Amino acid sequence: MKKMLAAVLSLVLMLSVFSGALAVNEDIDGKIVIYTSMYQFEIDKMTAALKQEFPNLDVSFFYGGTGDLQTKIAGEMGDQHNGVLSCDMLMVAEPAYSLELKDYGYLEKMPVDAPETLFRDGLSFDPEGYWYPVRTLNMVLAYNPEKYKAEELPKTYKDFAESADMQGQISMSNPLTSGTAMAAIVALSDKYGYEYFDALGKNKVMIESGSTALAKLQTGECKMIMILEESVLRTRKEDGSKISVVYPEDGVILIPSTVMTIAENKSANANLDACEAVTKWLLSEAGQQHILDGYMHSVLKGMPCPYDSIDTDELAKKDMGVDWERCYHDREEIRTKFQEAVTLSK
Amino acid sequence: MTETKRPGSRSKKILIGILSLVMLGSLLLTAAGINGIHDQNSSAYAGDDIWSQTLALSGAAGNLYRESVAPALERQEEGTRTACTAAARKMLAESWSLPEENLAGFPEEQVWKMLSMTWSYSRRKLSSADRKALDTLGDRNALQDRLLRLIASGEPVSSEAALAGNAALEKADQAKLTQVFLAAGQKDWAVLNRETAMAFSRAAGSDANAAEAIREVTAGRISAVSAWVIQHARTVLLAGILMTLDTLLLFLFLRSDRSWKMDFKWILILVMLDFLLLFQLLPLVYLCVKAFFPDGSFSLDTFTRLYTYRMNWQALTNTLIASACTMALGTLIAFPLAWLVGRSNLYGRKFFRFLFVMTYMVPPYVGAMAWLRLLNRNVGTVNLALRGLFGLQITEGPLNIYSLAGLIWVLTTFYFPYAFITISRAMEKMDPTLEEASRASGANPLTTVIRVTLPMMTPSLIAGALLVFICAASCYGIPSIIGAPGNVHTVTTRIVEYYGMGVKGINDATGLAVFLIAMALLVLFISDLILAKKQYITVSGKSTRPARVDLRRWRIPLTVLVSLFCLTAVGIPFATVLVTSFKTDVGKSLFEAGNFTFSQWQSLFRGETLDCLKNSLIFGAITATVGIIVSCTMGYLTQRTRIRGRKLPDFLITLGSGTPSVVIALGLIMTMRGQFGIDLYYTAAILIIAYLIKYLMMGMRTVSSAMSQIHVSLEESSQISGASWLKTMLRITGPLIFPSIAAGWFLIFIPSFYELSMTTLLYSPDTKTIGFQLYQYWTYTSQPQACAMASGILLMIVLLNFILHRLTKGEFSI
Repeated sequence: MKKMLAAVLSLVLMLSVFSGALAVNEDIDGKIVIYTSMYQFEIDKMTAALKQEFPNLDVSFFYGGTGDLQTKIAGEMGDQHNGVLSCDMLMVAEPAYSLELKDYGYLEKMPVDAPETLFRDGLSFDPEGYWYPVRTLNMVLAYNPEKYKAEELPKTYKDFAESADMQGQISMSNPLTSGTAMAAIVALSDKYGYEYFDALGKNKVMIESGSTALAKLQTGECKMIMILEESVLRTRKEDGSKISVVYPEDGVILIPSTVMTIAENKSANANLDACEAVTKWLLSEAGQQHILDGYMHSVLKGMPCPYDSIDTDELAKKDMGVDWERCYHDREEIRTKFQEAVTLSK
Repeated sequence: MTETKRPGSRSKKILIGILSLVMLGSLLLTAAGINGIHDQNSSAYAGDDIWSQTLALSGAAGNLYRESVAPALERQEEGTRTACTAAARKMLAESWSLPEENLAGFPEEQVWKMLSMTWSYSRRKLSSADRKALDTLGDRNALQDRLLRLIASGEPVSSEAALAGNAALEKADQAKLTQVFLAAGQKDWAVLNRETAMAFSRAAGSDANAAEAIREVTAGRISAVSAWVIQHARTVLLAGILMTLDTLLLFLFLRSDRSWKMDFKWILILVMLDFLLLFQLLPLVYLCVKAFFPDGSFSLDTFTRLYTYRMNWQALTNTLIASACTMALGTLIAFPLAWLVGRSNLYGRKFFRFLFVMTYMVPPYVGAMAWLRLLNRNVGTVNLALRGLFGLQITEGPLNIYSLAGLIWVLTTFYFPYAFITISRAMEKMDPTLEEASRASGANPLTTVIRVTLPMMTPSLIAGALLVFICAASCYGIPSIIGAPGNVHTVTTRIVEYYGMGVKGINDATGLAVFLIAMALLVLFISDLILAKKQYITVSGKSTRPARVDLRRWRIPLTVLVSLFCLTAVGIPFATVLVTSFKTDVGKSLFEAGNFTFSQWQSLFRGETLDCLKNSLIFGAITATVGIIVSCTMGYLTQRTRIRGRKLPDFLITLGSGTPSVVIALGLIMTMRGQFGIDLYYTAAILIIAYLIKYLMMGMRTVSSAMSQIHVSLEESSQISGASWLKTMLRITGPLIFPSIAAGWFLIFIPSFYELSMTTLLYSPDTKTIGFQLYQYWTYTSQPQACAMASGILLMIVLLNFILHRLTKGEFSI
């Protein structure tokens, strides 16, 4: 990890030397706190890069799983939904949560130049500027070629749930605590109806975290798991693992994770200038490069794909698509149906 | 004959007098607090401190007026001046969507003050480019004059050649001109000081509130004193209630003691009680109130909805069954082991004790991971071995960890040390003469154990058993890892799931949590019922050298049995964790090419991990030290005094440990962010308080049960010999219960050291701990990494224990 950090730092330094000026902004100062569900190693790199870019700005990331952060924020909001939060920006979860916070009046508009031409086609963003996608997560299937052959395993989400061979040997994250898992089941129930959940339940899918599921692939306890592409790419690159991604033929599930700025009078440090500068940086090539280094797909047009993945535009063509309004408004119903079908023991 | 006054009757009168005065004062405070809250509610403002913030803002506006606005206005001709103020009045009316006539009666100063307050509230801000451009204009006074003339004339600026070349003001409208005029008095071109404006904005919460507050204050209808009282109403109320309670209790203490002398003991007890009431009871009560009154009115909806949902019912029954079985199994295992290790001549006693206690030192979820690897039904190591051993041709099983039985097994292996520690400490101090007498009368060792030792140890047995029950019921890590994949839910996993659902889930979670709180209460009640009237004095003035029971021909078989148990319950999981920490790929053998690596261990020495370690050590040590002091005080209170209500702190402390960690954390977040005058959010203090509430009981029970087994005659004889109370404590009771104190310290330190669930919700970037780091690694990074960290933590604790052992020459250690 230290080596990566050094490499990135030297790259940034080199760029700054060669390109003449990396737009070092010294009058962005003060402090901001960003809550995020990005992994720690990504946070470390981003903190260093932001320090380079804004030397007088004190950026502090606060890491938590999506569910944990949402609970934290709910506690800070209080029951009247008017408490002051302890953060200034959020890089967490998915558009449904942004819709929710916008409804509660907790977000601040952030101007960004020409968002229609900035983002990849098909990516949703708030037209008024309350939230933008900043990284694209990709829910896929994964298997261990050293234990099982690809031909013997499902190639679609449908088979993943329905194939009797897979009973008791599949795994996925908990939609009640993972925003991406929630988005995935919204998309899948849209496509296949709630019968999909019944199939998952019958196939005794195990509900656990991505890291546990990866270990189960390694030991052979699971034949196939539903997991975020970035976890697989990371272990392939850093651990030399042979675990491989299957891009399901019936569609991948792209989940844009958003960046939001908290309304000034509800934020911790009321530093809108800094928030604006950081948002713009995140949506620039330099910032997006860090997203790629974190094994996630970019949100901008024309950016390359992360290590060992396939071209983002190609992926976008296969995207199943998630109905974010449904994810927000029908959340309770979908959760209950999932629980009844999958996690309730019969 | 002169009337002899009863000794102390004068001091009694003085004390009663003082107490009555204090009581009166506290009642007044309470009344003021209630009144203040009523004021708050009737004005329906979002923030309690709106008045003080508005006053602060108004003060800033006043300064601005005096230093910048008034001089500028004076420099103008009368006509310009009136026109400007009229324009200001108009803009104010527009800002607030009011008809202009409403503001007609407002004097000039008030209008300009209100305008500057409104402008800073509405967060109108000049962009940095504008500010840079304005900085180039040298003379502020001249600028102000020009602006005032423009404002008075009401013309847009694009035609004004005098300001040509200034990009900031090209095509500026009246509002912007006025804004620049007001800001000209400030160095950074903000109309009023940014922090003051922000604080006001937060306190107001909405435009309507802000407008009204500005009006009231600038009209002079709110004073600083009334603002303070309204703002701090809840704190005042809380202080009043606490003081009233304290005074009442002090009166009761003094009366029961009959000596009417102020004693330091009472103050200590009161301080402890206040702490518990404030940080434990208040959050719990707040949560329960929220559960029963979700929208402000009483409703059982939450409960009906929750408890009719099948999954929650399953969770309830699972929790009860799992905890009861764990308690039974755990105690069944712990008692014979404690006896064998503490009273017999088993081979390798010290080693076994050390090993059992080690299980206590490992975060439970780590062991759960190991068992997962060993007993999962598909490719579990043990399952594969069994299949091979018995030639079974199956692909699943025979054992399945993802079941209620699996859950109970893992819970037992991890929680039986709690019972073991409690029982073995007490056993060491037990008077052996009773047992010797029994054997001298002809009973064999087994009969002695069953008919003499067992009954004598009952308080410790029950204490240990209940500890196990409560811990098992409140555990989250193990059920989430073992139970979830098999759809075995418990109340704790359901609570965390509800919490994780964000805004709407909190009430649901609290509703479920009420069940666990109720269970803790029940447990407390039962334990009181059973232990209430019996005497279990076994440590008396005679020498207490415990004689070792000779096992004779049972010595070797029993040693083998215990070793097997150790291997199964302790050795195999730890070995698994250690081995995994050196692997890259969990599924491959350690000896496969390229799989052995030190990289996971290397990553432990990152700065971040070392910071976490430092935090954990410090927080744990503080928690344990404060905790053990409280425990000793509590032990004394319950065992040596006859004050009515002495059970109250005991009850609260037990309640605290029975409360699920997540509930404690959330209760603290909801009440300790300044609503009641205390803001501990994001500090180390809130973590330490949470740990104390949760783990205090361990120390208290250990010390209490040790003290209960020391006969009071020891202390009485010391006092008869002339020693003061303090001296008796330090030189008689202290040394006798010191092993329990040390054990209690560790019992509080260790879980605080690796605590996870509460830390997740309460930590800040500066107060991350090692347990939290471990869980992050496990869930989001990689298992080998987490295993390396777990092994590291274990080594650390073993080292600490070793140092303690050495330092105290073998006397004090777990």
